[in-house]
Amino acid sequence: MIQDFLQLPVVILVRVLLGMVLAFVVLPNIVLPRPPSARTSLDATVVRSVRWTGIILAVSHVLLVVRLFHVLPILLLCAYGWLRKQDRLPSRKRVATDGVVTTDAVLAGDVSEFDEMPERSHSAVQRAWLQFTDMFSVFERVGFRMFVDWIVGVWRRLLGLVRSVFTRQSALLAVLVAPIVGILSASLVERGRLAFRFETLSPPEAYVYLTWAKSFANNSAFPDGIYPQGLPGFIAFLGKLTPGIDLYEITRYTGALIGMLLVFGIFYAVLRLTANVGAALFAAGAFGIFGTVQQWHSPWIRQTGPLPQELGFAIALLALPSAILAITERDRDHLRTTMLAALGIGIIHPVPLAMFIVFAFAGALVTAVIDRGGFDYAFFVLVYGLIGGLIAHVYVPIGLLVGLDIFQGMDHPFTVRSYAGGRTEALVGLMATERLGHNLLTYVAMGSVALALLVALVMRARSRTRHIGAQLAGLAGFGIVALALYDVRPLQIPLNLLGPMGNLVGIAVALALGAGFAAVTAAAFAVRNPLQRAASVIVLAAVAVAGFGRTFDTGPLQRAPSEYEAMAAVTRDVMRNQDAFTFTIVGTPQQRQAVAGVGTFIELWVFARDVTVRDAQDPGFVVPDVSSLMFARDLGQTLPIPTADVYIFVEKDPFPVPEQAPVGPTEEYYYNREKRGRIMATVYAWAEYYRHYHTDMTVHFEDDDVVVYRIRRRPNTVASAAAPQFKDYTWEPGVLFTGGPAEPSEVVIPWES
Amino acid sequence: MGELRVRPIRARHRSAAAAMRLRGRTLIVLLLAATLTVACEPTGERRLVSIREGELQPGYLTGELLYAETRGVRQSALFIHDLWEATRERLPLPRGYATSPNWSPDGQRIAFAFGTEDGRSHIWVVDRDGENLTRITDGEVVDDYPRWSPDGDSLVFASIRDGDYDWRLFVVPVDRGREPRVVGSTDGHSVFPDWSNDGRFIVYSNRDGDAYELRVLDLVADVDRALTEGGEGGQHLYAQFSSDGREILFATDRDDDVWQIWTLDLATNTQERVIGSDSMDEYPTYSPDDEFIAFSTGHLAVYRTDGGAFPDGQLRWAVTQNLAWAPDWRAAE
Repeated sequence: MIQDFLQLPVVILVRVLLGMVLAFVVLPNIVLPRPPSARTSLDATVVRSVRWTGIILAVSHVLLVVRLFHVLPILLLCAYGWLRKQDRLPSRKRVATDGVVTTDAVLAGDVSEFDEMPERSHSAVQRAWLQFTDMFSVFERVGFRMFVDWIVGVWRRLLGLVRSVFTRQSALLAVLVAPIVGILSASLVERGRLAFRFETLSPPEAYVYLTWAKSFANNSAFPDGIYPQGLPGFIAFLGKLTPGIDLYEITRYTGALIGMLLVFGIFYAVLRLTANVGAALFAAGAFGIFGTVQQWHSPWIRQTGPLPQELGFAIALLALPSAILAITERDRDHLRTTMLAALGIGIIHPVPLAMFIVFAFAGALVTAVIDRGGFDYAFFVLVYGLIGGLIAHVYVPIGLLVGLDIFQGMDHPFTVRSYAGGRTEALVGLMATERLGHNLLTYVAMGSVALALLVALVMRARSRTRHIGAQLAGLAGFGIVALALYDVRPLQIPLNLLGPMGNLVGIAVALALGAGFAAVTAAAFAVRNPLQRAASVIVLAAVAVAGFGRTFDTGPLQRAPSEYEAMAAVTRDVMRNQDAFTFTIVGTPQQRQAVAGVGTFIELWVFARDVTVRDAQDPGFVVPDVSSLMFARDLGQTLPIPTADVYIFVEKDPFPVPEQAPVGPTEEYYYNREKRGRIMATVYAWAEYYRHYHTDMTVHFEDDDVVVYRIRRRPNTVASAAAPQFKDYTWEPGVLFTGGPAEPSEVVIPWES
Repeated sequence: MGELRVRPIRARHRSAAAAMRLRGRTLIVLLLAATLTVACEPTGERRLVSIREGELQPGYLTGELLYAETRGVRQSALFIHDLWEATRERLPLPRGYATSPNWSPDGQRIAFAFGTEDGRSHIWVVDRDGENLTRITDGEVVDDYPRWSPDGDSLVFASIRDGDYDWRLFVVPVDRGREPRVVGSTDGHSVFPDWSNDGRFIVYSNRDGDAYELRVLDLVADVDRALTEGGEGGQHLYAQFSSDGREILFATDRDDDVWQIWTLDLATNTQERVIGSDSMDEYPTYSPDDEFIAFSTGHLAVYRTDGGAFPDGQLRWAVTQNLAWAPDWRAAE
């Protein structure tokens, strides 16, 4: 009962979300010191998370190189213990009482407090942690009296905590926070809809990142050659902190969570730079709730799948304010954030890294121009970004030194090829219709940028809004860069980067809308009462978001499956219901990547090559089921594990794959419709004969497209290891599957006709 | 002062730690003792055990073992193993899938099934030295599991033919004087026949439902009856008569899905497990004096019928190292 509940899609999503919060919000708040540049608890949390991401990805890669990634959680515990011993954790004496006021003020856009209020608080997370750790301090003390005092003290603190929840300020904070929580929830639901409905990972590259994440978790570095492993490391780290959830599920929902993180990044960047919660809500709301609007130029599928560029953009959005604030606040601590952000983004993907450095420098430069100073800091933003980016790419020379090749999987635009394959037919079609062109939304964005620059100049002239004006200009500066990349022909992004570029344009347009909204509502700063000011801009933002929704039509939820849903669903069902390594799956590359590290696997083309109808007719024939080579490539292991259950997946109607040049066995056998059909026909005939002459095979699942056979018997370790079948994965181009029935429907089963 | 307070504590800790270690050792010893007690409990031969196996020792077993061995995907070859010398030779046959070899009663000829690339297979006969390779059956058929009649004039084999897609048993004269005629049950699949030494009975496996059961055909009385009724569960394959015709040796997976070697007493119909190992034991065959059983367990192994150990203390000897099956044992000349 509880197990069933824990495996519900929405529960898994929440568990992965909590794991992400634990991994990238709670842990950095516990381990990392409070950044001096942080003005609010929100700032401190975001900056810590950004820095933590860079640090943790770098540490993960170091551990990966020495094959010790699995000790990362232990290392974190040791780091915590050491920091505690060194008394470097956030002070335990400064118990917070007014942190709520600070956050409240910032959300309400109180500029005076925003600029001048010194930090005197801890976040709610820190408070909870301190109370939790206080419980253990009793073990350091001696005497019953002190134990009683401790119990009483804890009780009083708990009472105080409960009372504090019902204060006016807490209620106010809840009202202010509710809209963004609502927007984030809506954006998560929107981006998670495909993951809820379908077991198939989408886009197809997700299977590649899943494989790499499994390799990462098993200390196998760069299984397909040198390529940024930041996203696989991110997923593998999440896997460490979400016990009981398979990496498949984490990968499945990580895309939606990254999409939500993008929305939060837009919210935070606009809020931090404009101090206008309405602008932040409008930008995040429009992009988050109406993400399928075609005019964003932001391919919807990229926001729903686990893709490294999008993760890089999300971190970049959280870090970009630091580049601007370094100018207005002349604080080198922001530069450290910039560098660590560049480090993390660089490990994830070079495209968002380049975008981050360009945007950060351009934004800083525009800010410096408007602020009439801080050009040296703008220069340092560039230098620190480049340093972080260079450090991030240390893995390249290290990989070359140990004899690895650069990943060669990008042999075709829009496709990423693992040795196990993952193709993107729908993406290719989608991109063809997604040529960047101007539309009403981009014109509004351009107008917003111009207006923001104009208002920035006006705000710059008044001392009370001087910094905000400069920051607003910096925000507009991002839009200028995006439009330059968009329109100026020599700067235009090469075709094969259009995918991430499309998303970048969408994000830049959203930021521009936020800047425009902040410019339009700049007069709100005249309202002295912060509550009235916040309320007015929130109402305006709600109207603007609603107007956005009415103006632009949302498009369909695009999806790019690379296999039948039933194939993925049955695979996942087998994985859930059987213990690890008690089953073998005979299937396509998608099944292979799903079961890697969980079960054993035989490629369908190898199975089709090595079985004969004569075998199937022999009652004494037992299917050997060891595929040691493929297994070894997954996990660096060579132990053959024969299993009691063998599931054979056959597409009765071969999946309509995109045709690919035969650059490898995956392409020749699976992305060639004729050969895919012949392989399915061969295995279908064999299975039907086997079922006729044997008693240990049943039809495990069948629908119009797919049939899954199950063989259940005692595993024969010796015979499986010694049998010649399924051991040779040598690719012989053009030799196999050149004749025979084109697909299962052409197979004649004599006793059924 | 501080030291005075600390030292006794440390000393106490040391003594406590020593006591803990002692208790830990005691616990480990007790656990080991309990484990050994359970492992050595005389539960009879039903208990699955990992059999101790050694290499075949020359100069102990006599006769020649004929068997098929894998040479690659869809490739196998027939070998004759001299058990006294512990040497072997390969029958000079064309490349292909040769299986189910069987000595003729006089030990001079070998019948076997030979599969071709098109998925067909036929029954062939060849001399002991590889000469006079003769095809006994032909057509678009799948023939397998040939067994000689005691007089050496006929072969019984299983076949898929005549537009029927189930296995049937056929008898054909070796001189090809007549067409194969059906014998045994025509319901379901009938496979793995073996002829009794008096020529009166053919034992075979038949599946007309969920499981292969043993049946015996009385050729004189023309009576076909079931030996196992399915109540035992599991499959029953590879039946072979003992030399005196009183017992049948076969393999079944009726217990724990593990293929094991059993015997069936035809007079009392009692069945007894001979080998209760936890490996997959199939294709059993008696030695000519019924003192030993050769069988396939991935490779080929030999076991004493009475379960006793070999001279080196091992419970069975490995005859081959590679994937091999379908052994047939003939006496030394």
